[in-house]
Amino acid sequence: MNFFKAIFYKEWIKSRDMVLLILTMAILAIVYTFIDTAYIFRSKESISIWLAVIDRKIAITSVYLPYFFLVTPMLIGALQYASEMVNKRFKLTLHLPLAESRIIAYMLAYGIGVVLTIQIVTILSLVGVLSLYYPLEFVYAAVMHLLPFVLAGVAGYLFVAWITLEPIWRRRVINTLYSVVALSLFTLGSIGTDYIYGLPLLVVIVGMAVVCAYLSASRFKDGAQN
Amino acid sequence: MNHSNRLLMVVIIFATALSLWAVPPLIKMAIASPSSYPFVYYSSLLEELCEIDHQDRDYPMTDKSGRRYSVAQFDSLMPLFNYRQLMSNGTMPDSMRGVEITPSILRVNQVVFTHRPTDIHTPSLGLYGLLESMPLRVGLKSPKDLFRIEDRIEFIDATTNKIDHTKSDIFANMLSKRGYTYPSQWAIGDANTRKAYDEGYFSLDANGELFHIKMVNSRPYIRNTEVAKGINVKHFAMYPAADRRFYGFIFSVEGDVYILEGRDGEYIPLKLDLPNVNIDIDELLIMGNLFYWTVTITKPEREEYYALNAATLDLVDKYQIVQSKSLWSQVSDIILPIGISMSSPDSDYIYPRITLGGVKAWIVSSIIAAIFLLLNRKKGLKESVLKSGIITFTGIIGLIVVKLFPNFK
Repeated sequence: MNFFKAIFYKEWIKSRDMVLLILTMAILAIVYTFIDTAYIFRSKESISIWLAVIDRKIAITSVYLPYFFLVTPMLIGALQYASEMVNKRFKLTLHLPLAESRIIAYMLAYGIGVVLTIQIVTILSLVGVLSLYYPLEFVYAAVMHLLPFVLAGVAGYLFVAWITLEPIWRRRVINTLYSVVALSLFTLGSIGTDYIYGLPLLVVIVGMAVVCAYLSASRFKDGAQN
Repeated sequence: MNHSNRLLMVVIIFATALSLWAVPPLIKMAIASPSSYPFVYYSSLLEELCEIDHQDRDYPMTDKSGRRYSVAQFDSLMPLFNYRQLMSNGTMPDSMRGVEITPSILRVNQVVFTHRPTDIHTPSLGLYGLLESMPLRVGLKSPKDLFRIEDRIEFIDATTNKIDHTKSDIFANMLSKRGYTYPSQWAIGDANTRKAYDEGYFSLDANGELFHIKMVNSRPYIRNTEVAKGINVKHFAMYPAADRRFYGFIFSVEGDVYILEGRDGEYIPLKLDLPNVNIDIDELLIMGNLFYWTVTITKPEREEYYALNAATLDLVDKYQIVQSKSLWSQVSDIILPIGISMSSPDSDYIYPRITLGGVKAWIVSSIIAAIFLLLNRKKGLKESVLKSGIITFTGIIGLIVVKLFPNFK
């Protein structure tokens, strides 16, 4: 068994309960969207719903869905990395006969892989459901509204690693502060495609978050004192 | 510089950028007080623009020379603005300048139009509702479908959520017959059914030609307005004028403003005698009455007022108020060499906007950076040079971030 598989398996054992819980929530969210949308379209004329969505810039998915995308990856991250910090178990992980950067990469890849899989499957299912009731443009705007939150989820996951793996408490507080500031950059939108020109920046922030997570792991390994 | 410190340097740059975005608005909120301009309106009796301050209950009106007027004087000096008050007092003149005055004449000649930059810079779905402009029964009815026009006009039936090919083909054929070229740049109209009448949409085609598109007796009514022969059209704003004098406002690329009048099926643009308006950043308020239009243009640093003759739209008076520099802009002139903002009052889109500060801020930040380099030159020259570089670009904020993230020990 190679290390890649082994680390994935270790991370899976740590987080599987949470992953299954989030998966269940995602399925419920899709079913809810279906029932809710079908009900609205039974109770009102389609055109009046369409025009109301355009006029009042109403979200056609649940208003809680963005927060689901934002928060759940952080829970997975917390499980993955907080458990490593108990009795400094992370030291053992880093002692595996594998480059430290590889180990971190595999752990992060596992988390991001799981997070993105759940979120992309959820969004594709929503696209399927919403396309039954709305023209393409509405569905596109709904996806564009959710996309910043998907990226926020990934960044949030990485920031959890940045905060948790950091050995010094004072720095953890600073990291938390900056994580909150960075994540708030993903949540400035109101509705629709208002982030269309801002998405490249959000991707850059996700890239920065990877560097942040690496910095903490590196500081942990070096036993940083300040 | 070792691996960890290289990572640290990237994180410092990241944290500095975040601080540059987050901290200045907090300082601004702490020290700035919002400023506002007075309301300005043209007095048809004094024949000049006057300031009106509704907060002042005794002397609400001030003319350009600074003379103040009581409430009763204000009412009678601006009879077209205060006609309802004068009517209720029974002091409204029954004619002015030889023109009969009745409430209905005043009402149909009233124009109230606002333009905000966010009217243009806002996400749009690209789907529009087209009303029947000549309904058989009284009142406008909601459409049964929405249309898209970017690459080809297509109507999407709301009951089936599928394209209505028959209707789409009829409109598409008429558009191509009239010479409409795709892709469409925009279509602007109003699908609201609570207005008095409907004029459909105005749409700019790929060649910059402005077309009028509406539906009359379920048939397409499509005309090239031909205004592109003389005007480089940038934006159009529909206006439901009560007297049906004009369809709306045309804004040209050069910054000219026109109304688009309709006379016997002809489209005639009439230019407002104004200096150039930058609709991407300027706000516009037009308040018109039977005789004069008062135009207020709010620019970032000042507000300009113009009075136009209502019939010819020629300039009759102008006035402006310049805002004094706020405490916040004085402070930011010193502490911020670079500013980062994700939003703008001119746009609903969210993306980074970087502004460069003035010379003062750059001098201050360079001095801080030089002192930092002097004090830290022995703690690894390469890192200290990099850090003082960050401070040069970001000033005091950069210095704080550098101190928050010290090197490894």
